[in-house]
Amino acid sequence: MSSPPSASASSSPPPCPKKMITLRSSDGATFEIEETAALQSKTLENMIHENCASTLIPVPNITGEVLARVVEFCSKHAEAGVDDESLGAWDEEFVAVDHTTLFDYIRAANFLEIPTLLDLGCQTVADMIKGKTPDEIKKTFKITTACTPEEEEEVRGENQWAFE
Amino acid sequence: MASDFALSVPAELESALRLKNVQYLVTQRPWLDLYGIHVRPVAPFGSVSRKPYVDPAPIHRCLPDELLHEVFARLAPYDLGRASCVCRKWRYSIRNPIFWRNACLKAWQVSGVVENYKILQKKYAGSWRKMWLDRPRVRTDGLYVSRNTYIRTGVAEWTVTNPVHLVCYFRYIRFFPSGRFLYKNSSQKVKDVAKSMNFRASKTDSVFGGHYTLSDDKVEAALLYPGTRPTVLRIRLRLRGTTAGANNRMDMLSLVTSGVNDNEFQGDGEAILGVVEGWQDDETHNPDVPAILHKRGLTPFVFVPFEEVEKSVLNLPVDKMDFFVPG
Repeated sequence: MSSPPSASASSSPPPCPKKMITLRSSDGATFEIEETAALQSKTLENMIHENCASTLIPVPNITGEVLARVVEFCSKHAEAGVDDESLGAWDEEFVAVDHTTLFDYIRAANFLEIPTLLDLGCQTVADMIKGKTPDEIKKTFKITTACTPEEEEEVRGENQWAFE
Repeated sequence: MASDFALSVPAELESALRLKNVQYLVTQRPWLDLYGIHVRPVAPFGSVSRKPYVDPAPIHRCLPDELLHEVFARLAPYDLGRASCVCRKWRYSIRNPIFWRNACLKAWQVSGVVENYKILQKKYAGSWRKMWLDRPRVRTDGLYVSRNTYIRTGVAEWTVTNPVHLVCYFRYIRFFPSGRFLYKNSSQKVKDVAKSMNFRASKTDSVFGGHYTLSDDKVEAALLYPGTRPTVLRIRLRLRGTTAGANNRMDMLSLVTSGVNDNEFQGDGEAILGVVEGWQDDETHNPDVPAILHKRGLTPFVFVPFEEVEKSVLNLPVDKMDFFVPG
């Protein structure tokens, strides 16, 4: 299970063998994630501490595609020596996906309790709402539930202060 | 026609029959138009056979309510107000008092959490949303702009014998929730000034900082102009709005410049508000700097949010100005 440490030219001690955890998505695909990266997720962290992480961990409501990306996210954030700016840029690229995928990330982050990913996802959606008029928001998120004109007027009257 | 059956009518009843025929000729049978139209029956609400309503929007299908709540928690109160108007589901989710509690505690943080809770119970019947709407607050998401004009005579040239210039200058105030504010007096337009109204402004930007307090709808602000003859500028304002909760207008109640004693302040103007609190309008503590109660240039302030700075009507040149902007 442990990978042999690579010999480095400097006199620093060889890296400890990395422990891998296996996750299985809802459609049966398996993914390996380093333990340090898995600690980003509170759910997985609890499992590791209680020693039930040695076998396969099923993650039933997340598909393989999404789980792969989530594993990537955790590994990137667990990496040492990455400065904030490049991490921020990487994060921005990570969430430059269509809405459905973005919502899947948020749901996965909620289920696995990954606060950084949850924050990133929710903030991205919030930024999509910021500064837009209600009609623009409806168009962005394709919300079509119609309100009666009286109701729309009522709501608009209630919230007129937000438009002044 | 249903009445088409053979009738042998004796001659004396013929006139009566003619009357009957006339009636049959004008009978309306509107149900005949409905034949042949396929009407799908809809089960009444609550019945088992009714198909479940599927909201077509992807955001509602993919995100459960608590995650939508997380998204709303990261929006500013003005964005929340606009999001309320999007659909029924959002309107009822945003009614959650948690959002309004956080907005209120942030906007009135100077009062402190305990004081805010007390005011909530006493004046607003425990509703944070009511407090947000009814309690006057200074807006911190933009600039308050007061546009003043005056006329000065110009130089006569050519055919223009008695020229006058209409000069326009602005007072800009930006408030911060911590109790500080920034002030600038300039003829530059809003879109050019907005980016320099922050604490990192250089000396050439001529942006001055001070402190303010808010009691009910009255704002008392004081700032110190640094220099060899330090002058303190005291501004008293009254908040109002074009609609409940808007807080987008401030009337200037008084504008006084006066002098302070050298040993009255610590040099950086931090405690200047405490020093000048309770001073009379004509009070000055430095005989070199007389107290002046300014009577001109007191147009009401109009609030311009940062996102509207570029397209605000206040950017228009003097000849296209609308004088009725401060309503």
